[in-house]
Amino acid sequence: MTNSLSSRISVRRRTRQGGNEMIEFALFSVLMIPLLIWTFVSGFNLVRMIECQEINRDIGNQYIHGVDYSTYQAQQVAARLASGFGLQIGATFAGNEASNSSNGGNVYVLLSQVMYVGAGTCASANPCTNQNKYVFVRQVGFGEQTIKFNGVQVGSKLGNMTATVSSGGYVQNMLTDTGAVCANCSTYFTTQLTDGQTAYVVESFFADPGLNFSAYPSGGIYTSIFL
Amino acid sequence: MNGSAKVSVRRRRQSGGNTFIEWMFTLLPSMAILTFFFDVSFAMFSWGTIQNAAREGCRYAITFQTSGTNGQDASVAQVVQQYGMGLLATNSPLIHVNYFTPAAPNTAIPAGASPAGNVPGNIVEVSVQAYPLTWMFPISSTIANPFRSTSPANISVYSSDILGGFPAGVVSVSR
Repeated sequence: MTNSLSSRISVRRRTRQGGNEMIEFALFSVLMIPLLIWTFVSGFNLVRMIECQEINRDIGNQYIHGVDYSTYQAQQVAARLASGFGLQIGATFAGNEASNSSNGGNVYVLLSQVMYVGAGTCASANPCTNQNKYVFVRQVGFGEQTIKFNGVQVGSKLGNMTATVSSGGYVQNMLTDTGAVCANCSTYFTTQLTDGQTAYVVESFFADPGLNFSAYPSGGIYTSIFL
Repeated sequence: MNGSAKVSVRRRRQSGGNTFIEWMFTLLPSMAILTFFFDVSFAMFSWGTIQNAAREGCRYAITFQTSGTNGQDASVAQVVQQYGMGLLATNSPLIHVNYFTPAAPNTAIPAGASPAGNVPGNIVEVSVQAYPLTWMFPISSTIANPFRSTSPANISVYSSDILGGFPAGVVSVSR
């Protein structure tokens, strides 16, 4: 009787417990697998972010020392610096191009020179529409402008510049063209510029479609430097 | 109680060996994941280390310092090698030092050219090209050829900057 009862209990318990481990493993996996992916994506992006900042800084250092990034040769230097990140600059071109930004790839680099226009600078212009404002003096972009972070098109934090520019990226009428106004510049200067002072801003956007998991889109890496 | 004990013995006997098989089933993927983490981490470490080495070499280059009787290129390469934490051999042919004028930043100025490439205002580019990554666990998971002998990938890293002024009293530095 005892044997029979024990045996029956054992069978019943076996029957009831069948598949429990699988369910527990599934529950455990629901938590652990996303955690594992998140750790991988975040760790990888952290390393990439450091590299991206260095690339941006290298480009900026050369920009402020006079390297003209509207030329193809200079853009090749940037492409070499960003090797492995997918900065594509397309086919070779002669002379200067202010915007070489439809080449595919995963990187977009935007170099801007901004100036504060005060009364002194405005003395030569009448009317001086942009007095007491920050204006873009020059802007050069290359790479792929349409890259997206988490489905959102990237853009300069300084604001959109719509002024007419020369092939070298120089704004034609920075004192009078309202499209040259840098709407957000004052937000980013701890010490505001004085009349005629200029600053260089280098912004780089590095998308990373290779690390896009649906639940954890990697977005991309944005890095900027003011010089 | 006796009955339970007997059942338990029977169950133990029936379950004999299951734990070992389950352990093996768990061990194989666990080891695969573990070696994957080691290899990926080491690849990231290698990349970061040689990138940093190239950057330090570039920072050294812009100051026009030299080491002992070495010219500038060899001195820069030495710095890169030192910061390579053993990943880069002494006099490694993978380390490159090139100079460009800002007007032609993609045409390297050869050594011995006149005027020299390593002058203030020019661009210096320090790079480690085609550094072969190595497997930490070169297991291929095939019986015929159990160990991988090839590098999974090559890494090239670059750093460039504008050369600063010569040190006081120096008018040129040999390459």
